[in-house]
Amino acid sequence: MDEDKFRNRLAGGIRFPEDMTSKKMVYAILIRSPRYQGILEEVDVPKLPENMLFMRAKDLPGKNLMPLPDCALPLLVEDEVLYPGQPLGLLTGADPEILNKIGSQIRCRIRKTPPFPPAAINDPRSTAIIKEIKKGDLDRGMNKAEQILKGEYKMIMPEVPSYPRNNIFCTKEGGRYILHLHTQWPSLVRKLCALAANISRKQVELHFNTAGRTWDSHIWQSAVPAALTVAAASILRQPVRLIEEENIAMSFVPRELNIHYTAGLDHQGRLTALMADLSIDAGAYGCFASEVLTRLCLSSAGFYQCRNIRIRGKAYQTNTPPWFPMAGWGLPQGFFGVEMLANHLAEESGTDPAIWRNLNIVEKGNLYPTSGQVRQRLPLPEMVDDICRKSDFTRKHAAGRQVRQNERELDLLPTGYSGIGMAVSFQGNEFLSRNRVLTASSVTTTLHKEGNLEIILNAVPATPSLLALWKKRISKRLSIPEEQISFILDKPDDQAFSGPSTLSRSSTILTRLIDQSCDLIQKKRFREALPITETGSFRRRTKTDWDEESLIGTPFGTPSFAAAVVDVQLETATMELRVPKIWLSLNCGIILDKSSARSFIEAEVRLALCQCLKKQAIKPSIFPELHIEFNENESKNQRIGGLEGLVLGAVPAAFAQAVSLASGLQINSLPLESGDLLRGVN
Amino acid sequence: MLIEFVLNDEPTSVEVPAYKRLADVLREGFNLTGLRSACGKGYCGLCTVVLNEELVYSCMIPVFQIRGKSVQTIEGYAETEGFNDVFEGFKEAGVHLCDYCAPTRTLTTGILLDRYVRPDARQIEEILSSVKCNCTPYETLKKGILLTSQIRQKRLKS
Ligand code: FES
Ligand code: FES
Repeated sequence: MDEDKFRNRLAGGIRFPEDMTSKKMVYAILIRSPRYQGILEEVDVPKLPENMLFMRAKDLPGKNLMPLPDCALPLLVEDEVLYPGQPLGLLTGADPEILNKIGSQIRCRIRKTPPFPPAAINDPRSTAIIKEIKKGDLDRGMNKAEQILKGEYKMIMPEVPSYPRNNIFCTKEGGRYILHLHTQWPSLVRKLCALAANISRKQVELHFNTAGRTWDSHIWQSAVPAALTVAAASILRQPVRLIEEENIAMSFVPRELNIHYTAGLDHQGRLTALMADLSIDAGAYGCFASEVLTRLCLSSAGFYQCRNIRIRGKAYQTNTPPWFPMAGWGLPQGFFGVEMLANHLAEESGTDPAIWRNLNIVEKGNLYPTSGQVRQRLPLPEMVDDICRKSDFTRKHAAGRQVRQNERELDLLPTGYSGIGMAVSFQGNEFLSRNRVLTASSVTTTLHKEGNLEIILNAVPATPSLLALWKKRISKRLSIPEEQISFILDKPDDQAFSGPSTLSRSSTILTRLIDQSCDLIQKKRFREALPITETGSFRRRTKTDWDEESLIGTPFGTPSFAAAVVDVQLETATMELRVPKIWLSLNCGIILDKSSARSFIEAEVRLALCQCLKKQAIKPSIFPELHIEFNENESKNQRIGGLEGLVLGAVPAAFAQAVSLASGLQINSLPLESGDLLRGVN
Repeated sequence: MLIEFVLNDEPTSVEVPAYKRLADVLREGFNLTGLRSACGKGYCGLCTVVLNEELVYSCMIPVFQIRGKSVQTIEGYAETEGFNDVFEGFKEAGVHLCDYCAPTRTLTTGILLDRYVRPDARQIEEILSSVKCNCTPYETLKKGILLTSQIRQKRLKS
């Protein structure tokens, strides 16, 4: 970034939608339904002053639908109100105070309908999606087992506050709707705005601000208010600024993931059978449920060698706001289950958790739980050994167990206990679904006559530092000065659609596409006349590689791996928990930039600890000492690997094991607070 | 209610209801948009301003409380040498902040480093916690803070 831009950014010179005003501008607020679970009969709106308008579903010039994978979400309620706070309409007016006052007088009448059936019942009305991974013969595997063990694990997803809020400003200039907003999925916003206002996609011009990392459902949620704002601007023919309420009705609803395991072990502690049933609340419409559930099933099967597996997952609908996808789109959360189980199995078979893992991890030639063949040796055993050495895991773990076992014989109770835990995970930087809304990605690069290079991404990189990294990389590759390289994150007249920038797709897939198009340009550069344009598009894997319906095959082409060890200190009197150290060993191919990667990892550790400790943020004073080891593979064909979700997958289970050891209680669910430990319950 | 105060070194006044939040008054009445009104409940720190040399959350301050006092926002701070120190420090350390929190982070870092010229570990933690964000890594930020403090010390010496 050049100096002036950076200075301007620090000095507060960058404008956000809420900073925008224009002469004839009107304000808009979303009117949400306080009541739910019924058919909307009437919305009672008080008599509005002349300059005010209440826009309902039927007033939209275009479609009232947001086509997301697995569902079509209405922008405004048309018939059934499924959750509290569902948008009923958009109220516009010149004065925000009057707007809020009248907004609070709007009432709605609904005719009650039955709620979604409870999660425990398999009812098509509430079950959004069911997925199953099957391999071998489960009964035979169980019969062969010497020991059958069970485990039940629960994780409540944390609330991750996200800024900026959904403020949106829209104005019309020469037939185009200019939209200022915050988004990390511009393609979706453009598509939806065009649908809702019944205009062409070319007529929507987006100006968006980059913001911090988007962890979960915020990836798509700004698209709904954006579409409504454009629709209002097209009806009113005036600039509209939508103000998002402070106490947004999407306020935190605790969501649970439950996983029940039954596992069979032979006399050596090897898995003979693995059965799991998992269920998750998918919210009111179940959007993105198949991708999330597939990933959940995949990771809850782990990567342990077992011939007989049955993993069944269910995403059920409830009368709560839609919230998928969560951070990591389900993969990290499933690892919590299987790694908790792995620690439990190791314990029960009297084996050190690291040794148990290395005994059971799939080897080259084995089949993955999804029946795809393991073509290359996984780096995990070495990573586990390495992290054990560095953290002194084996000794500390054995010592922790010893202290707990001999506790009764001690005259004096120690003032504190320590515990240590381990877990592993992987990440695949691709979507498992073949839905183009998710997977589409393309990069168009043009070398202009004056020597400037322009790259159209149609996507917002997940971290702001990535643009600077790309510039450096391209500059080196093509010997073009960085000042002559520019990125266009979104082009109004471009029909290309791109999926969301999550799962490290920007650092992996986009970097690959940028490299490819630059290489092509380099080949033609001194042979053909300028300008030269090259486009690289992401090609999805074939159905023979991965069948997303039957969940058979090799789900990820180039996975990254992580092993984590977490150290925990527990104060005996107050049961206060501290996490002094975390060791991480990561194998993710080539790393674009080590320091950015470390930053990324640090941010994920913070989120993972929020998940463990029921906190909204982890203060620097309680942030652990981090020991990160990148195991870069020097081999030639290495690709840039993904990082997103690796830490989130490994840290929670390692933390829970460490707390179990330190507290002497069997910890089966997260998050945890001192109060839970004082009560001796979890 | 008429409230007279000093804003970014200039005496000024505003006629607003006494209960209005300082954040809204500064943003709407004076177009000082570097401070963000994000959580609106004293959690995120993104609306921080300097009130009589103290950092305060302007979303938590009813405007009548600033009567006769002096308020500084990032727009005013950007004109000072202190701002330059932070700019140089952050630039050198490669601190990548998002547009949204960058101004407040700059203000809080600069002001707290006035107080802690040679910050120790605890003081660095305080500076880090002044803005709540789960996306900027502490490591690079710490580097940025330390570099800023060195640049400032050098400037003050010369
Ligand atoms: S907006 Fe004031 S603390 Fe968050
Ligand atoms: S909120 Fe700005 S970097 Fe996190």
